[in-house]
Formats: sequence, structure tokens, C-alpha cells
Amino acid sequence: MDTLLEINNLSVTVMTGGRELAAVRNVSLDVAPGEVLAIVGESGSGKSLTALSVLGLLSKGVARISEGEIIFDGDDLAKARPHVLDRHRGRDIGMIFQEPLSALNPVLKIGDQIIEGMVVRNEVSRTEARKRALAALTDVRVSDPERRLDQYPHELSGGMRQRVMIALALISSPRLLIADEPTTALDVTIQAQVLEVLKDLQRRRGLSMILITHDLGIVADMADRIAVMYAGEIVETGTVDDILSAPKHPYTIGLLSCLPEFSPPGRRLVVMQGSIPALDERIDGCRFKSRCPRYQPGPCDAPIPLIDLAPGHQCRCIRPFRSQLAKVHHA
Amino acid sequence: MLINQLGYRIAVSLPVLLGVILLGFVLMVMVPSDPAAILAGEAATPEILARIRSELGVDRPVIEQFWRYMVRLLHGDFGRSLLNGVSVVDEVTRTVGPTLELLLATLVIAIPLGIGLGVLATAWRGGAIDRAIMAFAVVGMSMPVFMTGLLLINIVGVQLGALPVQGRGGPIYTVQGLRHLILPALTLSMVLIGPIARMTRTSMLEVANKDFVRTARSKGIGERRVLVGHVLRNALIPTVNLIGLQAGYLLGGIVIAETIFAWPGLGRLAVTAITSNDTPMAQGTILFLALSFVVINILVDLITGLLDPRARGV
Ligand SMILES: Nc1ncnc2c1ncn2[C@@H]1O[C@H](COP(=O)(O)OP(=O)(O)O)[C@@H](O)[C@H]1O
Ligand code: SF4
Ligand SMILES: [Mg+2]
Repeated sequence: MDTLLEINNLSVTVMTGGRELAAVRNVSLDVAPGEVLAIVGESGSGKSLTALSVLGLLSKGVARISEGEIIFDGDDLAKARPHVLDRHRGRDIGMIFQEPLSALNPVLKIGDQIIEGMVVRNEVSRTEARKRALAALTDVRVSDPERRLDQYPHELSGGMRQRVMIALALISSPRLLIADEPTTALDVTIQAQVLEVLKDLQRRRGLSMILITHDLGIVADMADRIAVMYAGEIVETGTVDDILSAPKHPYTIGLLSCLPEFSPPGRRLVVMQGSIPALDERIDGCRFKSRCPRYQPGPCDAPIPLIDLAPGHQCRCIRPFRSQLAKVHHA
Repeated sequence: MLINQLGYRIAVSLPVLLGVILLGFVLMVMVPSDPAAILAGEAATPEILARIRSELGVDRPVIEQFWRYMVRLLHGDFGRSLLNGVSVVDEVTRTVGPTLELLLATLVIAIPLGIGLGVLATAWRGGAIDRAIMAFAVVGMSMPVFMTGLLLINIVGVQLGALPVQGRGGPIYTVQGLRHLILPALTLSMVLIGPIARMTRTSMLEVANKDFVRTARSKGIGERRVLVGHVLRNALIPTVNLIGLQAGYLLGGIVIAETIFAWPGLGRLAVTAITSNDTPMAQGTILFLALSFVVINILVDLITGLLDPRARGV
């Protein structure tokens, strides 16, 4: 299968308290044309840093790519100069951010913000750009789109603003959309509507997508493949079926058992103990071991590689679950 | 919307103006000098002095004097100079032009320069350029206007002989007019450049961390456009507000700059009137200076409204 985006061995460090600490560790991912890859994991596991790395949007002086490559269209975005990044930003790769309330410029009209990229690139005339913005707002089911074009962000609700962000990210028809927790900040009912919009657009346009979330529940009917991240590493990756029906890593199983719809029948809901280790914590061997019910002194204290379990299904655990533990009703 | 806002601003400014009128009145009443003596000259007899006093009304109770003063003001009658009998309104209209010239030239120099330096410092933050600009800003801010003025007069005017240092050379659109305007305007600009540069830098650095800047960058519009169209565009709001806050210093500076550069403006008129106990003239000029303070702040509010839709209340 050909790939659109290929991340190889990506490591990202952040500066905290004058020290440079590893926050993303040797992450490798790929996305095929038209494919939806979900990245899931608790807050703080390095999902956003990974996503921001792709478009070169890490905050200068705070976070940086220390290793690895990000291949898109033959360019290595990890080392690309600003003008190369700008060529891909918006046009080939669009991005939606976690915070709909602060992601739009408060002093510019919605319409002007949506069309800015197009206009700067001289893709179309201003009138044509405005027409497209109107169509884009209609596409994301914003009510009263004509009027919205001339409104300012503070006049819109959070859900409406996130729809505007989707319209903005997709206005130049990029091939890849990176959505970093697009609904986390929204009310539950609004969440469902915004996800519906995303799903619909993805299908209609055959869009490739990286969907980041800490909620496994929402990926079931959207993603093709899932990568589970924990403490900066990928701990398990596979197809939706692999991960949701036959999870192997104790962390994945822990995540699933927090959700009623995925926990195996007859078993109690388990809330995972403990929390993600601090960035400066020194850990020998498995980074999940302090929370792992299957931890075994000795083998689990040595570096654990990602192990192939089946074609396309990998797991970073030396004692993975064998059984089809969570064969359930998500389908 | 804009009209409402304008009306509101004018309404809330009225107490300020009233306060200034009262203050100007009280100050001049308290000054232990006899306007009748000034008018009558050395050879006045007690009878003449008494008659002048009763004509001026200064022999009445203070409250009554204030009341009469207010009534006259409301009729647009600001009185006449005690020194030469010219009408205060005429003198103010004659001198307000040169002062506005000076103010305009100052803003035209200080705003772009202050913002430009702030942007440069931000773009090169932490580097030598940043440190040099910030050092310049601090020095400029802490130097009193008369010192900047004398320094410029000495170096540019006297030693280099490059520009005239006294008086006004003509209307602003003539070469002589412009040449005379440069040094006083530059002197006054120093009151604003430092604060504007520092505020621009501070607020740009703050805005640069906002989420919407990352969104802007994700559109592939180039770093310069991100910096100017999004970061600076938002950072201008506190900067414009700062100019309003600095308006008081600016007016104080105008009085001093006009005096040392012999600029025939409202500020110098005020100083002359005050030092020669010319009560009506002093009250009139102070009132007009206060009025311009109010006007500057109304303008600042209107510009803030243009820059920030949230302030517009839409
Ligand atoms: N700007 C930053 N400054 C300091 N630490 C950061 C910054 N951004 C992220 N981190 C740290 O890096 C880790 C991963 O963060 P992030 O990628 O945002 O996680 P996620 O998106 O999975 O919640 C966290 O421990 C977080 O504290
Ligand atoms: S390697 Fe050991 S500690 Fe780590 S997840 Fe597997 S069983 Fe648990
Ligand atoms: Mg995140």
C-alpha cells in the first residue's frame, strides 16, 4: 500500500525548568491515501507534540524535533526550511486544534480568516474565495453561513467555532487533515454533531486523516487503524478490529475497560490505577510497568521493542494478552 | 454603534472638563495678585483700582465670581487678556494651529517609529538589536523633555547647524515650516517612542503564544504575514491604549517643548499667561489643553473600537 505521510523514528523534546526532556520517543507512523489513523492515549502522552511536528508548529524555544523524519511528498518536514513547510501548510495538510475558543483570531472576521490562505497563495480571486468560504461553511453545517462570514469569533459558540476551524482547515482541499482532539472541549451533544460533520467530509472527499483523541469510544466508527500512545511511545498499533476486539497491550486493555461499551461482558469496569510518569522520571524497561497488572520483575525491566504480533498489529509488551479478550459489540 | 460610543465618551468627559474649569478658577483666585493693579499700571489711584475691581467683578464673593465665570463660558465668552486686552478666544485660535501641527508631527514620528522598533526588537528578541532598542527606549523614557530638547538644540542646531531651533518657520507644508518643526517634534516624540516600543514588544511576545497564531501559521501564509497580520494586529490594541494613557505626559511635554523652542503654540501661551498673572488667559489656555486631552482619549477609544470588535460591543 502506498503512503501519503510517513513518520520515522520521531523524537520530540521539551524544555522544562531549564532541562531538555524527551516527550515523544521514536514514534513511527504512516497514513495511506484516504485512510483514517487514530492516535489515542491519555492526556500528556505526546499526541499533540507528534501532530504539531508534522506541520512544524512546535513552539520555538520550548519544543523541538530531536530525531527522526517526517516524509510527505518527498520532503522531510522534520528538517524542512520555513518556505517548504509553508508550501504544504493549508494546501496539502490542514490542521484542527484542540481549543476552538482560542484557535481563531479574535479581531478578524470569520470569512477573512477562512480565505486568508487561499488569497495569499493567489489560488482564486477574493470574490471566488468568498463563494468557496460560504460553500465550506455550508458543508460543515454552520447555521446562517452568509451572515457568519462577516461575524467575529466571539459572536459564535464553541461548536460553531470548531466547525469554522474545520472549514478553514479544509478550504484549500488538503489531502491530509490532522484533527487534534477536535471535540474534547465541546459539550457531549455538540461533540457528536461535530464528529458527524468530520466523518461525512472525510468519506465524501476520501480525505486522509490523523484523528487524535483520548477517547477510544469515538474512533470505533471513524478510524481504519489505531495507534495507542503512552508516555511518549507507541505501545500498540493495529487495525480498528485488532485494537478494539483483540487488544494485546495491558495499557490498551486498561483504556478499553474504562468504557462500558468495550469492557468484556460480565466483567466489572476497571478504572486504571496511577498516572502517566513525569517526563523527568527515569524508567528502566517498560514505561508502563508502574501501572501494569502483568508486570514481572526482570523481563519487564529491560528495553521493550515493538513486537509484530500479526501483519500490521504491533505491541510493545513481552507478556501480551493471548486471548481475544474484548470481543464486543462495537460493530 | 459608533455614534452611541462617541456620545458616551463625551458625556463621561464632561466631569473632567468641569473639574479642570474649577481647578483653573481656584488656582487663579488663590494667587495673591491684584488683577486691577496689573491692568491699571503703576500710577493708579485707589479710586481707579476700586472701579476696575468692580468692573471685573473681583470684589464679589468667590462663589458669585465662579458662577459668573461659568455663565460667561457657556456663552462662549472667555474674557480678555489683562495684559493687552486681546480676546482669549482669538489668542487660543491663533495658537492652537501651531500646537496641533506639533502634536501631529510628533504622532507621525513617534507611532511608526515606536511600533517599528518594537517589532524589530520582537523579531530579534534576545539579540543585540533587541537589547539596543530596549536600552534606547529606557533612556528616552527617563530623559526629561527639557533635557532632550536642550541636547538636540545643542548637537543638531548649534554644533551641526543642521536645523533651526527657535520659532516656527511657516505652515507645515512649506520647507521652512517643516525644518522648524523637526526638532521640537523629535523632542516630544521621545516621550512616546520608548513606551510605545516597549508596549509593542511586550504585547507581541504575549500574543505570539496564543493559539490563534499557531492557526495562522498552519495556513502557510508565511512568517512575516503571521507576525504582522496576526501578532502585531492584536498587539496594537494595548499599544493604542497606552498612547491614551501617555496623553497627559504628552501635553506636559508640549508646554515645555514649546517654551524651549519658542514655538508659538497654546503651551507657550499658557506659560506666559501664568507667569504674568494674566488670569483669564491662563484659565482659557488650560481649559483648551484639557479639552485636547479629552479629545485625544476619545480618538484613542474610537481607534480601539476599530481595532477590536470586542470593544465595539458587536
Ligand atoms: N509547551 C510545552 N512546555 C512544556 N512541556 C510541554 C509543552 N507541550 C507539551 N509538553 C509536555 O510534553 C508532554 C506531551 O504533551 P502533549 O503532546 O501535549 O500530550 P497530549 O497531546 O498527548 O496530551 C506532556 O508531558 C507535556 O507536559
Ligand atoms: S512489558 Fe511488562 S510491564 Fe510492560 S506492559 Fe508488558 S507486562 Fe506490563
Ligand atoms: Mg493534546
